[in-house]
Amino acid sequence: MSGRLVERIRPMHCGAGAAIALLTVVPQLPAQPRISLSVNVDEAYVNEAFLVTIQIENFNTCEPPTFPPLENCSVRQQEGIGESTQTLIINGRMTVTRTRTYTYEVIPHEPGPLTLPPIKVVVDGRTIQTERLRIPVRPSQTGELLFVEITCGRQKIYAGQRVRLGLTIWVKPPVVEGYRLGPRDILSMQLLQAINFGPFPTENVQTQALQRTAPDGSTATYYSYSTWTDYVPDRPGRLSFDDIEVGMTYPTRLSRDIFGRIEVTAHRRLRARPKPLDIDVLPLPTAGRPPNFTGAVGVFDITVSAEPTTVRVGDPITLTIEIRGDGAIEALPPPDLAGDSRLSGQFRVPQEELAGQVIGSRKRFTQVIRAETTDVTEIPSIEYAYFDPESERYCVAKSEPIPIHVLPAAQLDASALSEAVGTPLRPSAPDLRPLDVLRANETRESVLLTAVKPVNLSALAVVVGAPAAGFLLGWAFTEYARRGGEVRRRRQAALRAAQARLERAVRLPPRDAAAEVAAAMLTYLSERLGQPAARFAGRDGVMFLQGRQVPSEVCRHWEHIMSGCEQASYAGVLDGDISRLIQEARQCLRALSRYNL
Amino acid sequence: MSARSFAIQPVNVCFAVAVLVPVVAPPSVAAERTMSPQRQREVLRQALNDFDQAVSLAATEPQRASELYSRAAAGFTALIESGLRSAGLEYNLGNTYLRLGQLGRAIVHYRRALLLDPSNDKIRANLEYARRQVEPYIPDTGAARLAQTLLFVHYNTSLRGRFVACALCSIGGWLLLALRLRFAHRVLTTGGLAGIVAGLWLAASIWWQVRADENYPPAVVVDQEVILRAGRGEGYEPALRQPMGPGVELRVLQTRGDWAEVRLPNGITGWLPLSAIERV
Repeated sequence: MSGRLVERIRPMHCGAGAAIALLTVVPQLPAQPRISLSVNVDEAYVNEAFLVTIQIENFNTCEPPTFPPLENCSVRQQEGIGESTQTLIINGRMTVTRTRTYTYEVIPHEPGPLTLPPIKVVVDGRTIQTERLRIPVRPSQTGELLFVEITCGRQKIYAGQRVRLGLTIWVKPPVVEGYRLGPRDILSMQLLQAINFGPFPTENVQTQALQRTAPDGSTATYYSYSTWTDYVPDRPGRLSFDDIEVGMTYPTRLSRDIFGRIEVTAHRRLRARPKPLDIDVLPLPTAGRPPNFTGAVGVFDITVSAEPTTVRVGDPITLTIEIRGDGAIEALPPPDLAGDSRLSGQFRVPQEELAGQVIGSRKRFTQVIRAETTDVTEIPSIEYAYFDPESERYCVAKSEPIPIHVLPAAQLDASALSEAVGTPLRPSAPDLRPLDVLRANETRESVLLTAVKPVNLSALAVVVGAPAAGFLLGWAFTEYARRGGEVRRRRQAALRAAQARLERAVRLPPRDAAAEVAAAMLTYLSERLGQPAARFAGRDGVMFLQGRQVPSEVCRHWEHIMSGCEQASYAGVLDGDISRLIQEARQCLRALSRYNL
Repeated sequence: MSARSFAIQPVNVCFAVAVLVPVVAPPSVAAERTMSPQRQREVLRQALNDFDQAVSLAATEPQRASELYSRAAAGFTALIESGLRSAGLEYNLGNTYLRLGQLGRAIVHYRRALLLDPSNDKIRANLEYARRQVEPYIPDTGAARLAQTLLFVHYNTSLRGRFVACALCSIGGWLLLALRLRFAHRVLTTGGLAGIVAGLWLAASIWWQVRADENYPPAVVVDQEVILRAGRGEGYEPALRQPMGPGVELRVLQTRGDWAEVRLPNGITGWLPLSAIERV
């Protein structure tokens, strides 16, 4: 019977168990992270961008994916990372789902099949990857529709020389179903995108419609969009702007919205980069280069002012140096004040490089110097060496000397003292003052990977409150021990005194012994409670004990002993009876000593 | 009988799973720190290498150096987001942002580092180095300077240092009073009371600073050329003629929508876009 019952119940048990397990387990398990890869086109065109999207769902932490390099393709990550969080509360149970999206713009440069390999992403500490994806890439005519040119008014430029550069975007007018968009329409509909204009500004773009030769040799009307900038090449070599990129949403189908405005309903994403310029940036010549040349290219003039001009030795003098000219003012290097022996020989000059401030067509540098002796009578002229690219030679601009009056220092410093006594500590000692530079990174892993707990108010409360609480506890314990000890002492003394009287009663005649036993009992209560013995005589003693919640057995025992003693005093008693009475009195006292009275 | 008991085992297993899994399985939200120690070391070494490589390339290949600095910053940030509150990481992140030219963010991270390790000279030096590049320089008010002079212990010592001193004074003071219960001596009474008073003063100083940081959190301008306005909106007149560059330090008085009312060190108040500042 038992076997059949077990066999019948088993499937039911299994089902119920599984259901309970699922109900209990499933909501607790975190949802598994998911990753997907998608593109926004079915087929791509050469030099036309398409978007690749990587979407990660159900994660706690996620490291950015590493997009693998694709052959014959340019890949650029779109700015911004899409992230959304969805919170669901069902039956009081909250589920949070996070989704993060990374978008990349891919531009294929060669026709043929394009394979996007699996892309790995580290999600919640483990690596998962996307599926492989194939897209066909077809040839296109992008070069005729959109191209970019960079123009320069000079054939020869030097590194550091400011030159005027022009960027022109040429767009073949879009004609859709007989309707031709104008050059302004393209701007107003934001069809052109400055993906990377490099040094060129995106404002003040000049627009024209011109006849010109297309890259394929044919002549056609093109819209031109031109912008200009002052550019300073920072190194010699071929002038290159490979990173400049222009995008265009080239319309292939147009329609009108309910307000009659034209909108693009189908388009191609075009991308164009400028051709390399046939201009070499020349290095600055080394012949004739002044030793204090710091890299300024152009034509400059220098003026210097000082404040205050009457100081004590060691007091700060603020030098304001202004350089104006037609070179690259923003990137203008400061004059080498510390390297100027005429200045640093008389003044203490900081080593740090000056930042400078551009004010209109001039750049202002401020430096604090300190006169070292009272012999100094002027701030010597400050020299500023520069390379003039027009005359192709080095020149030096000079400021006027500034007369100053230096008084003795109020207190001599160590160096002044050594000079005064004529025994310099180290005549040719190098400058051992630390330079004001950025300190290096912390590299000790034990320091970097150790988390620090900040101070919080809870810890403060513990620090302030715990010792006080500890003191109060200690004080309370001490007080309790003191008071409890007094009570205990009196209780033990009373018991000892009563027992001593009982011991004495053993040796007395029976009649006297009974009186001694009664006296011992009364003495016990009297000494323990510090009250007169007469208060506990007779029936009063029993009532007192009952009032102090002493058990009734002990009270009856007390009453029995006291009445026995009274009876023996008046009527006499045998030796055996008085011995039993003394024994009972001992037991009663021991019982009483266990209770708080 | 034993065979029948064995036959019921799947049910037992189901019940055991039902009972044990909710207890044993970690809650999904508790998985904030998912980076293993090994992975943390790898990310740290990569970030440090990127930083060193960027420094060596900064003069010749600034573009490449900038990319490497950004990668180093991403690495340090990932470590901090994995739950590592470390002064060293914040300091390195400050260095990275400073090299990237993001002065405001550099000061934010230096100040966070200083909160965690106030006695670190390197952090103080680089913070001062960064502060010297801030435009405009906004000095403290006279009252603030006077308060800093009078309450030098409060202003010139670290929170953690005061916390340790508070603990020592409090414990020592009460200990002396406890000894006073046993040995009646005037020195014990005086010393105990002095320790307790000093501990309470330090506790009040810590409490005041923590509450001030909670109610009026310190922040730093991270955007370029931000205009301090008289109200919360671009239409309000500027409250300060000069725009504030990155790195200007201030306190946030309140936030409303996308704007924050702030107080500058010189006492001037005004409104800034919330996106232009970052809290320390």
